[in-house]
Amino acid sequence: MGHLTRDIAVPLLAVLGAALIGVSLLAATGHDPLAVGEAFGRRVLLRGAGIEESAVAMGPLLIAALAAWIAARVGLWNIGIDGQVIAGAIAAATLAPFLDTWPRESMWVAVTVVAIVAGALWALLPALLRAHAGINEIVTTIMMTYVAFSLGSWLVEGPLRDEALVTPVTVAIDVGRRLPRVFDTRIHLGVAAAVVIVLLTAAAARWTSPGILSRLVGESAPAAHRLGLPVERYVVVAFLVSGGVAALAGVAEVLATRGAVQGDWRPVLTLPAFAALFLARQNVLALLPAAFLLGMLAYASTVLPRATDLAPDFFPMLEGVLLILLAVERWQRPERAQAPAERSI
Amino acid sequence: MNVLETLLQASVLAAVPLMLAAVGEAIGQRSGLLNLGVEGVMLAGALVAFIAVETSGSFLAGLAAGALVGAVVGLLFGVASARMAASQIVLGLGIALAGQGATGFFFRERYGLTQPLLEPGMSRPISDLSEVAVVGPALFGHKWFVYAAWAGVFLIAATLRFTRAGLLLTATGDAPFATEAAGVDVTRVRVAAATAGQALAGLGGAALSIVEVGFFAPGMTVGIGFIAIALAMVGRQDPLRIALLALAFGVLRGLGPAIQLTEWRVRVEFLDMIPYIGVLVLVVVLGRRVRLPAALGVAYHREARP
Amino acid sequence: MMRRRASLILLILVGLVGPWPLGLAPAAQTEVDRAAIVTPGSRSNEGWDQQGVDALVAIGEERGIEVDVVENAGYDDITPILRDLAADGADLIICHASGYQTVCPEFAEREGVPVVVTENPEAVTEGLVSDVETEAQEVAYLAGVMAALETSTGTVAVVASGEPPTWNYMTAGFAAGAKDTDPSVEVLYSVIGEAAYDDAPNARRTTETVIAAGADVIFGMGDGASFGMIQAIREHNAAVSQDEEVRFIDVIGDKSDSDVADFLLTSVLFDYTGAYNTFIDNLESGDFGSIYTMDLENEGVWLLEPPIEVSEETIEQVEAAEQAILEGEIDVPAIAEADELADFLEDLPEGDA
Repeated sequence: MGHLTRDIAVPLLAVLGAALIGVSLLAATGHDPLAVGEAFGRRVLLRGAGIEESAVAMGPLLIAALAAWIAARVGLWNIGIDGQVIAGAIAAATLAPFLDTWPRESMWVAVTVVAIVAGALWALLPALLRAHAGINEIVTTIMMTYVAFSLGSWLVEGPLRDEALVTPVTVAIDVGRRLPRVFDTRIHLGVAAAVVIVLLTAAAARWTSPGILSRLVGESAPAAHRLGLPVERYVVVAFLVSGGVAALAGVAEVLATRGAVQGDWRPVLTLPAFAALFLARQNVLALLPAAFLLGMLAYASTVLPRATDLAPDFFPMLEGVLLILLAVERWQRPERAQAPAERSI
Repeated sequence: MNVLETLLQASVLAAVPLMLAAVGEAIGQRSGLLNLGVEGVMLAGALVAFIAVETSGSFLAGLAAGALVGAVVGLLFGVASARMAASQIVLGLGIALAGQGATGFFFRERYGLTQPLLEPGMSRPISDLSEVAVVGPALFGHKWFVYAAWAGVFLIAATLRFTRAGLLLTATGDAPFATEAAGVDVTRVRVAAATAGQALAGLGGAALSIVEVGFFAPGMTVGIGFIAIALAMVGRQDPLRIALLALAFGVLRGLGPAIQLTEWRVRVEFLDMIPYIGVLVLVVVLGRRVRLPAALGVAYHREARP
Repeated sequence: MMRRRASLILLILVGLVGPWPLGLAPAAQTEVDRAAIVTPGSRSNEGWDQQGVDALVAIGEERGIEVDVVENAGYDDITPILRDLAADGADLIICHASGYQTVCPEFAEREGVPVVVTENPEAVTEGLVSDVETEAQEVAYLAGVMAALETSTGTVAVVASGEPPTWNYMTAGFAAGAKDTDPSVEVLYSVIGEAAYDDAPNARRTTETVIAAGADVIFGMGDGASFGMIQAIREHNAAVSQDEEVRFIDVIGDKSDSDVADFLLTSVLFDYTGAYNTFIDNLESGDFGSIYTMDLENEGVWLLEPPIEVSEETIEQVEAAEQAILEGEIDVPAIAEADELADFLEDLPEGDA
């Protein structure tokens, strides 16, 4: 099989396999698979709102998957995306109310820049430990996420809290000052920006020298080292960029979706991000359809339980099954050590 | 019992599921397998054990069922990653996600809108001794499974250190090619390690649902499975070290309720953070000594010898 | 021929434009034949989520209204769910969490579908947004009175899964009731964790800790986490003699026909039926957009008759306190915010225990 055929056939087969397993489970538990399928078709695929909301759900997934991709490019696992999203969101929600008098476009830019820095800072410790002490980044990023959850909760509950409301939530940005919507849909500028960022990343990976060389670092750090590449610097920078990109999903929450950070908000993007990454077979452009598919699943998990009397957990379960199928297909080559990068661009 | 005694006793109990899962993960890691799916395996063990006790009334049946479901997942993980060379990380993340989803789904399928609770029943064999001040309840006041779990950990530690099987396991993770050259089937060792290790994780989940709290709730592990992976690494795959870390983690988590009863006004969010920051500090302090098997996460291909 | 086609086009135009002015003319009278509720947690937690769902389902059966239930919606942006409900023809959507207080009014504003929010009086808008408040502190006060009279150790405890306003109101009310009844009673307060509605192991540890500190009446607020508290008490009670048993005071849902009945002293129960019926009536009569406060007086919040044996004297004193509250003789503090609550608890007179 050629590369291209394989890159298209494998994800399709995996999706088909997951769907098949889902259907058998439905049948085995006394649900009507046809009714669930019909509801999926009618509510998600055929309703304008279904496609629109799937696209909205795709936004943060795409950003998170891109963050995972960037780290994977240099052979690292960023399992702490959720923490970096929180860091970005908190930074955005802290700054935005102070810029009340600014023109909204400048406010967006300032808030985004600060949030990116916050996300990168949240990835800094795991990056340094990995690059300079050889400590596996998986453990440290997971711990950083738990710390972010608690710290974020405290900030929203305390110093950042909107005193006018009884529930803990930061001061919200007025609807009129949030990111505009594309045409008259619920799809906001942030989603469009995410798509553009993915395209730019693809171009940078293909046509800039750090982009090209980073792939070498990911595929074989020792070889890159022998060639005289500053491997440690590549690792740190890529991880910081990954954290900064992840923070954009937090920015979207504050500048577009809800205008604020809520005390009990817990983003769950890391695992779906990796589902998208491997569905895309680590090809950055393929993240677009992969994230859209997972966006549809995310949307389905919010509307289908009511229509079909199905526990919402059914859909995350399918995502997990999909990941397992993709993993089984994805053979590792021994010389690739811990590098998740297999084929990019 | 006073607050201090309760704090210590509750910490010892809380440490058990974490300890079992982390030791199980460590066995896999020693052989060169990194399974990020512990959280999903624990939930599966917790649900299956709960169903077994709820239907049979036997705690032993529940523990066996929890271990069994863990072993099955471990076997599949081992075969897929060691024999079929699937990506361990992707597989693990998939197991975590699928386990969370599947347990929520099947719990709802089986129990609908009810939340059944188990009768408190497991015996406390040596609780007569728990009159001893301060450490009495923590040492003697437990249900029998707590002692069984600790005995198991000591047994595993001894096996790893002193038996041929234990040495082979470590050799497989550190130098798979040399081990193979010495006539050992690396793939089989890895599959066996994954099976045994995840059986322990399933048992840990069972301990959580039927020993510690007495019911099942979707997502009830609240991240213990991921912490187990961290402890296995920070404890350098040594069961005794891991057990002590799990105990420390349990005490740190137990401190929250106790501190709130004092005069200090500490926000509960700060108390929540302490254990995680503790692990991070430990990682930084240990630095390069956070030892991992040389071939951890690397698929083994006989023909691809370097 | 020509005329017929023209009228057809006109018909299509009316059909296209029709729904919009209708949807955007909020003050109009609306026949409610479909209503929906969105809850963050599971409808089977015998707590907050289940109580809201059960009330609306019961109203639906009584009034012949079709009811849509969306549970486990979490605290993410629920706008997609709201749109789906609206697309299916919901005439009213109840956003059953204080965490939905910003999303739902914004949705109502944009789509013209009436919503009910929780604990956000500021958002009330004529024809679009109504608000339901629960002044549960009064009934929690009564629970505090009962706890102070029934404790034999002289120590009672509040265990909460987090510090949302609904919980804080009740904590303050309970503490005030206990202290007013018997200033020598010690009131302990422990929070399981931020948003720990489902952290059962931690709920259990926290409860064990307050029991160890001497509490023999525990006022527990925690939805899913409540089961962790209940299991801690059950296990404690199984090991001690009858006069050392710990009793539980529950909130929101009625657990008196479950395993808990053996040691359930009482419950602060919420009943949304009155609130939801009022909102539906308001919609149908064209004056939607108000605040409904569930309290002791309108029986939106009420105290469960003790499932276990309680002395006559206790019952009489609780009833006396109830009268006093209704007649305005006792003013129960209403505290929503966590820091304020901490100040309030700190300023309570020292207990003896």
